[in-house]
Amino acid sequence: MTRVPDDLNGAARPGNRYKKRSGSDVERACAAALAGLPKMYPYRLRALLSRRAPSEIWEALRRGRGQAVPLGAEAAPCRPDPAAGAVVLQVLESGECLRPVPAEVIAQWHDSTARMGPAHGPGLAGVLASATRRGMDVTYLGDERFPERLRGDLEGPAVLWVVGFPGVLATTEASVPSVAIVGTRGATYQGREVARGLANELAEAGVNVVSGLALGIDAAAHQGVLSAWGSASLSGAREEGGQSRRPMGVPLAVVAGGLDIPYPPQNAGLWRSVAGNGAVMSEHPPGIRPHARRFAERNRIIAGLSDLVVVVESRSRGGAMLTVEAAERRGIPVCAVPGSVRNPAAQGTNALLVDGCTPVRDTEDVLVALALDLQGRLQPGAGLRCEGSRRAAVARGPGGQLHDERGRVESLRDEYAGHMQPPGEPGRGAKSPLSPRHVQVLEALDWGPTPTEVVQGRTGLALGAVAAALEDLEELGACRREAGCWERLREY
Amino acid sequence: MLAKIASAVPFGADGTAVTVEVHASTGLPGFTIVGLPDASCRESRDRVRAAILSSGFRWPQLHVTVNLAPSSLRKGGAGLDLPIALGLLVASGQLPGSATADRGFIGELGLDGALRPVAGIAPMAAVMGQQSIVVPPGCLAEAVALRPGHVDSAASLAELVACLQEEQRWPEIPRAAASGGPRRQGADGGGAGEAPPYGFPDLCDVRGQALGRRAIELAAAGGHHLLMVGPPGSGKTMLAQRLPGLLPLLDPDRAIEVSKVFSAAGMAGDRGARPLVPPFRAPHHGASPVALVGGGTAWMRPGELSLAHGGVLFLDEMGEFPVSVLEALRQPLEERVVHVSRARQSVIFPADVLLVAAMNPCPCGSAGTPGACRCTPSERSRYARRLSGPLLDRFDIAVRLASPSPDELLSSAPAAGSTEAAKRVALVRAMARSRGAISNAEIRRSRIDEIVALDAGARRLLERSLRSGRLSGRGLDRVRRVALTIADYELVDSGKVAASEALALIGACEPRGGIAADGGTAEGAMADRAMADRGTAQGGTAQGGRADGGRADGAGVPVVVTAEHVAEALELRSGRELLEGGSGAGSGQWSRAAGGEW
Repeated sequence: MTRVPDDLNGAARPGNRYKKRSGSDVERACAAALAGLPKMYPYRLRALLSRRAPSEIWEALRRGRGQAVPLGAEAAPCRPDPAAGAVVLQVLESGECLRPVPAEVIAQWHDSTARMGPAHGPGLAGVLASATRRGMDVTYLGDERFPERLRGDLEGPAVLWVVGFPGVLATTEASVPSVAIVGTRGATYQGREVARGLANELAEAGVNVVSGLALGIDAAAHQGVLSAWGSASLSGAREEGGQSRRPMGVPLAVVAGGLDIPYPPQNAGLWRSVAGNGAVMSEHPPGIRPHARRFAERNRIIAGLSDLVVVVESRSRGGAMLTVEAAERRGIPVCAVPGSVRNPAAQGTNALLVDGCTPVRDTEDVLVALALDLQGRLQPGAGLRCEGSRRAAVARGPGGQLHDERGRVESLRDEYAGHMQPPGEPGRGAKSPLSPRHVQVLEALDWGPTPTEVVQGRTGLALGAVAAALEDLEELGACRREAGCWERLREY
Repeated sequence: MLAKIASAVPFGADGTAVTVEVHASTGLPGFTIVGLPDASCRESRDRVRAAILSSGFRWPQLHVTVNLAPSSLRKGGAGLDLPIALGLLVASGQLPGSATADRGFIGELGLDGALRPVAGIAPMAAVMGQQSIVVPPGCLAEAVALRPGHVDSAASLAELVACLQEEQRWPEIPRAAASGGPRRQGADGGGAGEAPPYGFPDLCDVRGQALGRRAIELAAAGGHHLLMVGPPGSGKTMLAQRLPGLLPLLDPDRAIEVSKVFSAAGMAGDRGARPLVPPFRAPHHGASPVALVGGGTAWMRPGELSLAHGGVLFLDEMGEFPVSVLEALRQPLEERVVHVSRARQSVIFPADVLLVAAMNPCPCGSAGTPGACRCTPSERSRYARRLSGPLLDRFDIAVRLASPSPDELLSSAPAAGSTEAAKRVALVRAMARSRGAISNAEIRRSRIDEIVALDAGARRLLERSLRSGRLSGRGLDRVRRVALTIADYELVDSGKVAASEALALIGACEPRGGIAADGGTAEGAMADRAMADRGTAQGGTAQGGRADGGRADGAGVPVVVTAEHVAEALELRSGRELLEGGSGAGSGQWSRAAGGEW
């Protein structure tokens, strides 16, 4: 008998049949291979994996329609349920995957799986081996190492590739507090400093920091955590950290392409550091290039991995706002850092505040929102209360809501077109009258008063060069002098 | 019988030769001093009497008249005790007149006949034309330092008389005193191993403060008066104390002037055996106008402004100085001498100082951080008004300092030290000398136009600043000079001038006399080479065929000043905005914004 769970949250409950099942190499290989099948969208694979083990699904697809699944000696290690084939096909043809999977797609899958051989055969072992060789780990829905917060997430990923230190997935348990710090790529210096500071202090308070390894706020957040680790390893706190207080938080990154393609290339070094001290994860198999759509989709995982989303700086329409929406759909509280009303990079966050989002000024505000004290200990009765219980919205939602979500993501694809632009040109293709040096100086200016020597320090240019550039920019009306400081006036 | 003894009295930073005439005649025994003596001078009668008696001489039972010629000049100090006593001995026939001929005498007498030191020996010794002078032992080093001729000394009146009568040999002059003095130290070429920062604190102690460092290096290199505006704890005092350590050693002529001033102020010991080190004076803000510019009643004492001659005058907490004191600085800063005039006399003190001032941007001190100031607008404007516009104009560099960040303070990276900076300063100063001025700040205004060649960008920037009212006519002149220093500095930084040569410049050549003395000093050659480099670098504007001697008349190659140089010079004046903006910072912001982009 097949039971279609009406509450996928149940998948995370103890006693769930898949909770117990440890991800053997065969299972992980099958999960990796399944995720690599064409048109095997996360929601489809999720529907399958929430019902059956990867090897059973693999075998069912390999055998194809109409065939019973008499599992011979070859499938013995999996010890599958003989009814698995029927279950799999039923899932594929019913509404569990939003709508029935077209027959030709199933046929395509059948061809692919048949070509790659049985679940424990050498073909699949090769898939896993090639990932392992590159330092990647694979986990899937139903694997006990799969991040606990994502198990009940209806829109969550089905399979995750992970590069990180051994055992990093244990830090994604729900008992370890986790905060997403997100924001615009075109952040101001001030914004990056705030993100860096928040991340640093949160990590020291034992909170994991999730972000997306993009430029701007994301990069600053990761750097903040890494600097906490850097100073901790100097003082030896990494070893002793667990004695008196909660161990330090780790950097977690969710990226939009395969783990073998660091993107953006400027962050390749940061990427390695995050992987060394925490984890970089992706729901896409190696070789998948980052794509505008995938950035939007990756944001839901960032939100899903967190207890709280902090937006440091965001334009009014930006990727960070998608993360906010994803968080709100899951009932995850969202906080925003207030910015100058003149700062275009803070318009989104300020709009969030107007809408009633909780403002945060410093780490303490974030910890209060998390109901933690400064040592990272839980403070009963404190913390942000969101409407309904956490993750209620997504868990409650029927398939139709998922559909809406996808449609909306598609419509926002334009938003992300900018992702593929070379960085440093926020002007959306507009011809800029400024030389690279002017741009560099202008970007080092805050929307509030900035002393010249601060600009000099940020750019590393000679004082004369900075002063001359500022004079030119003043003439262009891009900034102005105020009581010995410089203020930015408008964007270029 | 009449005796004439040569002596001198201090007068300002110089001395005035005085002849002490003693006439002893029969009559009612008495003792009169005429010739405008002040109180200490008139009291010398009692000291001289006791000294003569306790030295074993006879007090003549005669009518004694002492005249201090020229009699119209007011005389002060106890330095005339010794010549009066000797004149008395000659006039009363106890000492042959020939023994005192062609000698000058200065010294105060104790009641036991001991010779005591007096203030101002150096300038006095310098004006005495006699072949040989006799001074108290305590003043020997001071007198030797400034006097090319012979100097003798004796411990007491009795010993002196014995030496004069050649009954006894003159005591030997200690070697330390004989080798001291700017002239000798300058001549032996080493400054006696003086190297920057000459015992002043080193620049490497300063963490962060890139702007402040830049400002004091440029101020030292170009001789530009420097104002530092910043909150308490931003390192203003620390930076100022390190500035004299960047200056080149004084040349001997300048060092002699400085020694004279210190001697005249009775502070010769402060200069001691290191007369070539630039002085650093930091008067407290309680100083009176006279303490700062000099003056006094009988005896015109040099003020702090003159004591800092050739070096640095540092006014910490400038906003706390009385307005009258600050305004008194204006004229001396412009003319580089102080005229102190009183009803009866007027003296001229040297006052060629590098003025360094530090002040908070407002009474609460935090106006440098936007939005942090707690002062009311009226408090701020009252505070800023203490510095009048003309005084503010004297500061070529008015830099705005912020407190260094914790990262900078805790950084263990070694900061650049004073020695390196002093090398660059010396080279820039050498370039200024090749233009015929001690520093870029002192180039004659008429020559600035021909030396500073503004390029198109610089011209545009200056024009814009003038039109917007940010720059005044005087400001334009100062900005051009600072920009010139920056351009010179850039040339030095570009490494066209080798470090070893720079070292030689500060160590050996700088004190060895002016450039006018000989055309071939190393510094002159260096500056020539630097100029030629610049000429070729700037598209062959070098004037070829310049004769070796041509440098002395200051034929400098025009220096191309770019927009970057001007922009930096303007930026280094931005501390003025903090003070000038004091009155309208609150309301002005909004009204301007309302009229502008909004």
